[in-house]
This record gives sequence, C-alpha cells and structure tokens, in this order.
Amino acid sequence: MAAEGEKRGAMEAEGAVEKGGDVAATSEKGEAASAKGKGVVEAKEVAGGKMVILRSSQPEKKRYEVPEAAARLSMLIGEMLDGDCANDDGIVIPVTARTLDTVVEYCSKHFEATKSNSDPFVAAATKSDPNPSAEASVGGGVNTAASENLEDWDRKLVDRLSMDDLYDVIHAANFLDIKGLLDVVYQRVADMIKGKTPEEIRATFNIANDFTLEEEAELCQQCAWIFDAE
Amino acid sequence: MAQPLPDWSSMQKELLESIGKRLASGHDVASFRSACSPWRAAVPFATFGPLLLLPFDPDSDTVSFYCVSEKTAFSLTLPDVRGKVPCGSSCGWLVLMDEAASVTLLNPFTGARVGLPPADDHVAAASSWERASKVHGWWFLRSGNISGNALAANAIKLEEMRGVFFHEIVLSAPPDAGRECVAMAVLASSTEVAFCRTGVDSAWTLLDTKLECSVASIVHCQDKFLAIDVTGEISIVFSSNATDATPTATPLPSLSPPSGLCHRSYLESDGELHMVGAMVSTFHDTQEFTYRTMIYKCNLLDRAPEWTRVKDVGDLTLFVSKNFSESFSGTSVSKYKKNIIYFSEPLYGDPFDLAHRLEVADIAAGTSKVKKPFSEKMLGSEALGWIRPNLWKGVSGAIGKYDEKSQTEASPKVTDAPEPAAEVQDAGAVQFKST
Repeated sequence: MAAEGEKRGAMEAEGAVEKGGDVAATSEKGEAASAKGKGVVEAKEVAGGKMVILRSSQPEKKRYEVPEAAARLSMLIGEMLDGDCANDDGIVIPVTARTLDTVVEYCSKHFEATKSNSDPFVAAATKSDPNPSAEASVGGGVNTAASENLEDWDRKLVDRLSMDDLYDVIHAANFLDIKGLLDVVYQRVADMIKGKTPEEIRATFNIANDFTLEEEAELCQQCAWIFDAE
Repeated sequence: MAQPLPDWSSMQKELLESIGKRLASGHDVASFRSACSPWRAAVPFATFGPLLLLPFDPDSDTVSFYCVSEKTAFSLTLPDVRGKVPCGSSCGWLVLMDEAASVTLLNPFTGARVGLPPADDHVAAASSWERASKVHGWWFLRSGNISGNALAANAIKLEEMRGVFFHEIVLSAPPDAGRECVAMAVLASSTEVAFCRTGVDSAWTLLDTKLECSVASIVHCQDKFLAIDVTGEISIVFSSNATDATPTATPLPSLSPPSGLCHRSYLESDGELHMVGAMVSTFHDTQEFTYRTMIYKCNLLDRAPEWTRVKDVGDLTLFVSKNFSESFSGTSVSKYKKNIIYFSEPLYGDPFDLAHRLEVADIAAGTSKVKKPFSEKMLGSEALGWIRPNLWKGVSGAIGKYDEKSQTEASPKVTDAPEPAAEVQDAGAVQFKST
C-alpha cells in the first residue's frame, strides 16, 4: 500500500501520521497543501461501494457522505481513491466545514445533473427545456419541480459567499482540483473586478497599495500597451 | 488547525494568473495590475508587450515569437496555421490564406478564429497579370497559348498564393471586439484593393484607388484606410457607416513624399500618419553608403496636406515592420527607451548572414545599430513583423463567422509565457537560443 501512495496525490503530512499500515503521503499540490496544514489520506468504501466519506479538518471533522462519482469531481480525491488507501473513517480534507459545505454542495449538484442526464426517463422528460447550457444540460435532481439552468445555479452558489468564504473556496477548489468549481469562483472574482478602478479593487479585496510613485508611473506606461485598455 | 486569514494580495501566482486570464476587458486588466505588486506580477508586461512575429512553416502548427524586452523566444501550438500562409498581422490577429484562397483571421493568443470570404475570380482577375481560375476547388494559373496547345495549367502552390491573390490584408479593428471590422487587401500588382466587412459581406468588393502605380501597402489611420503605392503616393479610402454606401477613394497626387527618402514604413502615431524612412548617402568613389533614419508626419485631413519632419517623438518607442505593414508606436517602458525605433529587419541585410538581426535606431541622432538576438537561422529568413498581443476583448460579443467552439477548446498551448531569463521553450520544429 505504501508504495502506491507515493505517486498519488495526497495531503502533506507534517508530523506523525498513524494509520494502520498506511500510505506514504506525498503531495503533488504542495503549494496549497502546506498552507492548509495536516491531513491524512484515508478512503473508506461503505457497503455497496458507491458512497465515499469526507471529513472536514480538525477539530470539527464534520462528516459528509457523498456518491463516489460526485467526490471524483475532485481530481485529487479521485487519485486518492484510486490509490486504494486503507480504511478508516473517511478522507480528511484540510478545509473547514463551512468551505467543505460549499464544495460538497457543488459536487453533489453536478453529480445529480449528470445522473439525470444519462437517465433516459429523466432526460426525456426534461428534454423540452429550450435553454441548453454548456454544462450537462438541464439541472436539478429528481426532486426539483422546476428545472434550473446549471450555470445559473453555479453562479447563485458562489454569489452568496462572503469574501472570506470565496477566498477559502478558491483555495479548496484549487487544492482538490475541481475544474468546474474553480471556473465558477474565478469568474466571480473577475466579475467583482469588472469596471472597477484600482482604488475600488483594493477596497473590495482589502489590499494595500504597495507601489512606489515610480512604480505607479511605470504601471501607467505599461498599461498603455494593453489593447483596448480605455 | 487555523486557516490563514484571507490575504487576497498574496494569493499564489497561479491563482492570480487564472483570474487575470478571465478578466473581461483590457480596462479590467489595467486596473487589476494596478492594485498591488503581486497582482501586477500575475500579468507581467511581457504578456501584452510588443512581440516580433517570426516566419512559420505551413507544414507545422507552430508559430514563434521573440520578446525583445525579455530577450526570449517562445512558441505557440496553433493547429489552425497548418497548410496556410500568413498574409497579414493586424490588431493582434494573424491573417492566413490557404491554397483554396480562403482567408482565416486567427488570434494566436486567444485561439479565436473568424472566417473571411475566399478570393474569387474577380479578385484573381484584378490582382495578377496571369490568369487564374478555379477548377474543382483548386486554383490554377493559365499561361497563354503555347504553340497552338491549349492552356498549360499549373496548380498554384501555397507559397505562390500571395503573388496571385492577396499580398497583404489589414484590419480596421479586432474582428471580435463588438464593433465594425473591415478587412482591406493589397492585391498582387494592382491599383485596386479589395475589402470586405467581417460578418457582413460574403464576398470581397474591389475598389479602384486611382493611384498611378500598384498599391504597395495599406495603413489604417484615423478611421480611414490609406492605400500607398511604391512611389509613396497616397489614396484615402473611406467607407461611411451606411451599409449601402460604396466606399470612395481619394488620391492625393499633389502630396509629394520628401525627396530622396527611401520610405520604409508608415504608421499611425499620436493619431497622425507618420512615415519612417532612410536618407541614403552613397560615396561613388568608395562605393560605400550610409543612411540616416528620418521620420515625417503628414496632416492628411488638411486642405493642403504636406509632410513635415519629426525630430523627436517624445515618450514613444516605435516598432517598424518590414514584411507586413503593421507598425506602431507606444509609450516607452521597461527596456524600450523613448525616441527609439525597433526595426524588424535592417535596411540592408547581408544575404550571407544566416542570423536574424534587428535594427535599433536613435531618432535624435538618426543613427542605427544592428543587433543579433538569435544565433540560429530562422525559416524564411525574415521576421514577419511586430505584433501587439490582443488578449482581452474591449466589448463583449463577437461578430462575424466566429467559431465559438474554437475559442473555448482550441486555446493555444503556450509552451511558456515570456518571463525574465526564462528558458527558451521548444515546441515542434522551431527552436531558439537567446543570446
């Protein structure tokens, strides 16, 4: 088991990690991982082999049970599952429960969407929707009365995040390598920048101006080269 | 485990870069860069500063560029260039033509593509002394009757296409910026030009420039196209916005270029037409020559336009192309000093010299230095010219036969964005060493 673990992405383990007969953890995503702190790679397949347990970081260790296909929207989790790590009670993701709530919600929703798309009965029933979106068609799980456009759903998901939450979700999505979620959060940030002056951007993101006067002058000169900057 | 407090300014460079790529417009990018220094670093000047476009091989799908300020070359993998020959670089887009004389506009930095109508019989008839005709989708040149024989037909090869159809195509604006974009073409040996409006016209329209000699180049200046012939005579081609109005061509026969000046290129700078030329002095006894670079500008719209000498362009650096007529000026910055001209080719090249050279001219002194940035020969020997990367749309929305799919899926694989002292990347057949 240990040998397989080395190629697969996993969280960086600083300090002792005990797991019965377990994996050596080497992270391919070193940059985010070290900042986020320690975690342990564990994957457990519940009876039936279809659900995966995820846990948020210490101390809460909130437990989430998600379909494996949903969890696999995270390339990192997918690699860990493929690495077939030994059992314990769930994969610990080094993010807070608040952040993981959003991530799990995203993954579950998108999993539901692909599921209903491939289910011939549901797909046929929802086929009349005239609004094709880039994502796997018409949203909702079996339960929603009105079918929602998945893109709109994504946008609403991130729109309600506070600045701090958004920051955390970006790092979590990057660390977990969930491309779709990353696209959505990056787009939110780009939308927050749209049309703003540098001062307004600094206010929104709580950034300090660290340029000298000369640097600001050079910035002006450089930015004059940007096509259609006016 | 405590999560670090959100510090947006110190986010990892990768994440900031990803955000930078999604910004909606050049304006947003300028503001983004001006927020703080890590954000500025996420979109370095080299990303959008001027680049030298190097010649590329139609058998490959690689286009290479050289960044003078960073002294590095890099390549982009662009499957769209395969089987096509470049016939223009304008507003940050490449103009490509294939053997069927169909024309594609390609933004090498975003992967966006817009199709233009192909050349047809009318264009072929206007453009070339020889007669070209299309048979089964291929173009053939028909030489005159040879001793009673019917016409000998030769299929026109890709590298000959520019000599038969479009020599160079210039755009009035980027084709996907949400405003009208007109493409105007210099034909091979003709006093006529061809134009079409992207997304509107399905064929090229010919227009007589009323110039004495064949059109040599076209420059877009002050919302008009200027057709310029080999003698330097200018004809203003103007199309009004009304869709049914035909464009007019107004030659300016009384506007004489400065005598004795070998003109090298024209560009719009500070809203006015400028000409960059060389005053060559030869010494008959020694058969040596020297030259002095000179700049003139012209007040085209006045009642009696004339060329006046410009000895100082102020805070600007000029980039002058030889093979394509895309030349431009910009605020001097970084390694580009003011009152300096970068020529994509020296005025007089050494045919035995295998290395590519740039010429750097001092406007005040009029003198030039020739620099050798690479140590290896490039394909086709001469750089195509300068290009300003056009990475962000000004206004959202695309017009024209714009292939949406190509933008999201066929993004060019950048082997490496130019970075200070970056390693030169190898992509495909072309490889460079920086000196």
